[in-house]
Amino acid sequence: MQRELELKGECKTFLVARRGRNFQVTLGDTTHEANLRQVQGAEHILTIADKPYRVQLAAEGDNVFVHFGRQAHKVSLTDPLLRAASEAAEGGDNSTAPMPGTVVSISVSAGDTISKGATLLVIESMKLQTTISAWRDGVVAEVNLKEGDTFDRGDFLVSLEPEEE
Amino acid sequence: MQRFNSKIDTNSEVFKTYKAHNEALLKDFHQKQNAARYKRPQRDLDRLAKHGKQFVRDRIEKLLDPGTPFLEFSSLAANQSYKGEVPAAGLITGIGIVNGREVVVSASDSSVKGGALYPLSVKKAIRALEIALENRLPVVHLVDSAGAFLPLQAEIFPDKNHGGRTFRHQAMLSKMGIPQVAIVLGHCTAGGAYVPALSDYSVIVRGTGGIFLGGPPLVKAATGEDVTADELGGCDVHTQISGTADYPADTEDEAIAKAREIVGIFPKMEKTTIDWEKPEDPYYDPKELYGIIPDDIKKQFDMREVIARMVDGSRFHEYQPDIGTTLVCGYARIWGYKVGILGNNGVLFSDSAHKATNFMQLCNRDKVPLVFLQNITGFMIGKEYERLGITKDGAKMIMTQVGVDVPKFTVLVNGSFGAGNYAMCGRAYDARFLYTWPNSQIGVMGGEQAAKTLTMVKVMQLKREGKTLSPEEIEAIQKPVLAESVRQSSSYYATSELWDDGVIDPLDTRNALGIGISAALNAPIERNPNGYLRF
Repeated sequence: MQRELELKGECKTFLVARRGRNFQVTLGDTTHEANLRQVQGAEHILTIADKPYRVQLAAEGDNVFVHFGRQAHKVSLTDPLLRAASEAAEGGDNSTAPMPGTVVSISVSAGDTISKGATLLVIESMKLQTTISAWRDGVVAEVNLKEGDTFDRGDFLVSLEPEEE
Repeated sequence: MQRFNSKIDTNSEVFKTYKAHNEALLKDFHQKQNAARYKRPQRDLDRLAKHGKQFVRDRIEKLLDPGTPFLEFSSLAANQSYKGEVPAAGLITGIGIVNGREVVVSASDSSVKGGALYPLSVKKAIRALEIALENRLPVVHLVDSAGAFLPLQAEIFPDKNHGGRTFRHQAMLSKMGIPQVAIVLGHCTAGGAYVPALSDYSVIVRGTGGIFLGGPPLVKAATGEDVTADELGGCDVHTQISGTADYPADTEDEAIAKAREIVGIFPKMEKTTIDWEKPEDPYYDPKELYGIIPDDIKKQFDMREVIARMVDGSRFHEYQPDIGTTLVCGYARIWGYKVGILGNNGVLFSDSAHKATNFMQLCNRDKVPLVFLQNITGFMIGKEYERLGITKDGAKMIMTQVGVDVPKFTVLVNGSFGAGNYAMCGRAYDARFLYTWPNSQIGVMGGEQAAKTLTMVKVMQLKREGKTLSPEEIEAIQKPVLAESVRQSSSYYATSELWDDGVIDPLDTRNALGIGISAALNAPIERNPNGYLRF
């Protein structure tokens, strides 16, 4: 199984495979035989390549704290899917209406500098108010409607200035 | 399964505003529930003590295994009926653990009008037995009831879903091999007399317990015979002579202990197995739900944020994330059980209905129970949408939802309006359990819309008669209509009328669903799926 761990701010990919009672851990080009045995509470014996080490382990959510050789290390399990999703490009300069409706309120005007997540406007359709938020950081280029206006599905609501490359 | 990445900022003003709003709602809810459970007029409590009877809550506590949860149904039933004088409709029902077995408990509360049955008490009793039937759960009846509340007998006695239905359900349970035990803790007169008689086993308390078709006053009136209750149908008459009851007990405590022992000898039934893994607490704190549900039913929120605070490890695998985005579908685990969740993120369009249909087919085929989280104003209306076939696509969703063989569970999280309620497995669609959050509203349309429509109809009517109304007169018509419409769409009215299995605190939802899924697995899942038809 492939796993991603974050150690000292660096992301590392490991391959972990079961091999008898032990685990085979591959990092880059090197492979180690490893085994972990609980002694009592947080105290464990970690064996790597037949060499035993005494370590203290404590887990909190996805973080594991390893106390080893008078130093504590924080190891975080990261999710490759989540990381890939957050690195994906966030696109477009226009927000379009998801359905026909009316404008309840507008919070920005052309020229405003906004950051991702900021409220741009609130629309209402089918008795439901939806907040349209900024999908990226940027500068408002144009607000195409005013309060009380109605619009159709696919109409432009707010445009942002194109991103500079 | 991937953990959901929450975007909620718990330090934001919006979060704090919502939290304050919802905490106030919840405080009110807990006060109402507490009063319904424990607050009784002193004279009723005195009367119980005089007869040597225990309060129903104490009886239930002694019946259940210590330290185990009791999932109470409809604790606020009848809260808006009978001048609020019949808390919980005078009948406590729920699922609890007795001698290691999941059972349905149905207990009359004789501190309320002597345990008399009102129309809503009958509705509640029938629902408890329906839960037993659908989920194949044994039943423990704690009987101590004065019988039907006579002034309202026309709403209690004759119809299909009136009193007779309780005995029909008892007989069906027996036929299906689902055992029942009745504990007779007071008089069960007339109809009530059949509750122990139709149970497989019954225990009766000497002195206070009595079973008779006609009580002493009726016997005197009808035949002139003078007889005491004990001579007529007391413990010894029925356990030694008539054989109507099986086991005598000298005290309530003894009777309850015997009933526990009897539940222990009920045949053990194998549970249906479904995909299960070791449970994990949600990663995100469920208390944050209070800051996510908005302070106004019109305001939108992301149902994924609610799901993340309900499911194991906040892990959620979203199905078809980029299409029909007004409905969120995906897999998660609750108490380790794999479930398919459908949650509204806006009004239903054709593509959302298709997604729901596809997803339900897959869940059904793979034996994955369904959880519906409703926040729905309805299906999209308008020219464009009719041309795209919104009605037939909604029909597909309903057809598939009704046809699935896996158990369904529904929570009314916020709004539940129009055909959206139906497509998302509302009360009429046999969800095994259906719960309502205190903030939620329900109706064929929103309260305001209903009031406006009704007022408009009235104004048009008067216009045809040649009368025109001033804005003040229109206002005068609309105001009471609006007030009534708002009252009838509230969660408290809904639960008062037993349109749900209870209003619950959002924090309890995970456990309520967990107990529900576990209970539902007592019944087999008859599987008859077709191949997957992609819409």
